[in-house]
Amino acid sequence: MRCEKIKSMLADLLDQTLSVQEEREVKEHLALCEGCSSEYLKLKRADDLLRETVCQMMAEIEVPDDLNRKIEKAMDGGRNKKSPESRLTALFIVPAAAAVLLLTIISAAALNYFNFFSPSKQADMALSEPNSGGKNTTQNEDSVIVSREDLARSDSVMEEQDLRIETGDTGASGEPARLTKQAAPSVNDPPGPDSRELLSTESTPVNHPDVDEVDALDKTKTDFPQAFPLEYTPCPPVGHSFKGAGGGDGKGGTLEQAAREVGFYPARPEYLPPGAQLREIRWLSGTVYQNYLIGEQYIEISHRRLEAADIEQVWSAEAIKIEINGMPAALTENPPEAGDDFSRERISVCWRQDQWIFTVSGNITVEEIIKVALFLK
Amino acid sequence: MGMLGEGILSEEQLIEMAKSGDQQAFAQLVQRYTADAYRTAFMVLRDRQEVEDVVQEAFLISYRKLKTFRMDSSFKTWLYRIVVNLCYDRLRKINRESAAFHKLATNFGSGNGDMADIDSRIDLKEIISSLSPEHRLVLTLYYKMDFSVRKVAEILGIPTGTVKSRLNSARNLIKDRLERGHEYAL
Repeated sequence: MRCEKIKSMLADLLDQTLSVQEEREVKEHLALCEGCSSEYLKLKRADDLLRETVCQMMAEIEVPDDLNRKIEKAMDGGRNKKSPESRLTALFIVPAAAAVLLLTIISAAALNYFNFFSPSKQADMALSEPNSGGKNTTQNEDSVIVSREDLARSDSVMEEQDLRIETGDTGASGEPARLTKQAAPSVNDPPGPDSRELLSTESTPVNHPDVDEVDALDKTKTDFPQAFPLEYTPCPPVGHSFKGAGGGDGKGGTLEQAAREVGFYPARPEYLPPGAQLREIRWLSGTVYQNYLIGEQYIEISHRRLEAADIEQVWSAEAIKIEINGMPAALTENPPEAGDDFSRERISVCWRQDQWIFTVSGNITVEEIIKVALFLK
Repeated sequence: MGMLGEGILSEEQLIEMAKSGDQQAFAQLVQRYTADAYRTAFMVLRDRQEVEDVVQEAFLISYRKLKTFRMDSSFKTWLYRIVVNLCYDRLRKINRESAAFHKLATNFGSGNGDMADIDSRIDLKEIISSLSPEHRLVLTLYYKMDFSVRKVAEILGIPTGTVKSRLNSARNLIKDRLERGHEYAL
């Protein structure tokens, strides 16, 4: 090899990132070339000095004697120590006890502030379960938690990991969950910021390692969204017809035309069920409707500005309270209406995000409806 | 996998036991890594309170998430990713880069080498101190923690080329200074 090329590989030789053959060739050259050999020795000396300096700097850092004890304390949460021989172990919280404690806290919070979407073990959700007494403030019997297994059964191209169901810190399944979109993690990788990033929370850190997986940094789970007054719902009255609000007066056209007419760019679905084809885009009275067909089924997305009148509405008695990307949402199930082209029940999810009102409805599975809602941009 | 010696468990054994809920096993695991984790975090953050918080939180998280750890990857790598991510979080929040540099410049005393090297040694520490936190991290993980280039890249979530570039720039800086020093001696 020529000296110029060899010299460009000397750093790789030091880093041990050469292939076996390359390393052999470089070493053979160094044995014969005094110039390259001298250059390598200079680089090696700098490398050794750098290593020595870094190690010295590290050795000069004093580690507190009580660090292990402080870790114990942090893990124990301040309980008394059991034994001096194994202080770290003595103070660990029993996982089961922690689970009970955490569940109690979450349930108490849920009673006052949150309504979660709780799991049903069948593919079809028990959507007809009514609110007890029609009051929403203190009861969560009607809340349903979606389990990953339920979602995985749905016929979707989206990876299960793409949708994070936040459970309690103990990781127990079946706990009240929020539905939040999350960048898809890979299973075994350690926790990191990207993976814990929720759409509704902090912005992406710059230069951050792509540490996927588990929201290991679970501290973001403490950033619960502010609760809306439960008498508030932005959802349109039950009975919205697919054929068009206002008796079919809605104009049809492209998304750009709709945007010009209504004065805002309509949200686009980042996820649609496999095989979905855009059927029509309409707008009427400031609302843009996007209709998609999936075979013989449909899904409709509506997007409009929040209005003062929205504040006056109350939760529909049949609505199930869930959260979409941290915002309270109402999920309703309606029988097919006379004149509808479809015979299956229509499921709707409606929520407010900032100054917008979104609705995703259709006669596909509830899991698909929710996925579309979660990934509406 | 097997006993390293009488009464001494291998790391794999400790991890398996800890995953099954053996708190004492986890405690032994923690004790092997606490000091170096603290020092690594200190190389980045330069604030003792911040570093203590990071280390505590790192072990809390690793304890909670141990069930997700698979034995086909290195526990040390996995743990250091947690530590590094927490350090980045802190840096982002507190944004103390310049303050940390000034603090560090007074924290590191002179080396114990022979007199001919002592000036360059202090100078080297200052040079390293003046680097960006990520650059310092690369050097720390590679030179002190003995992670390979590939592992450093994995922990920091950056390409291996970036890691090599960081190592090379530090080496070349020192090589140039050594060459100039040699010239002065003449």
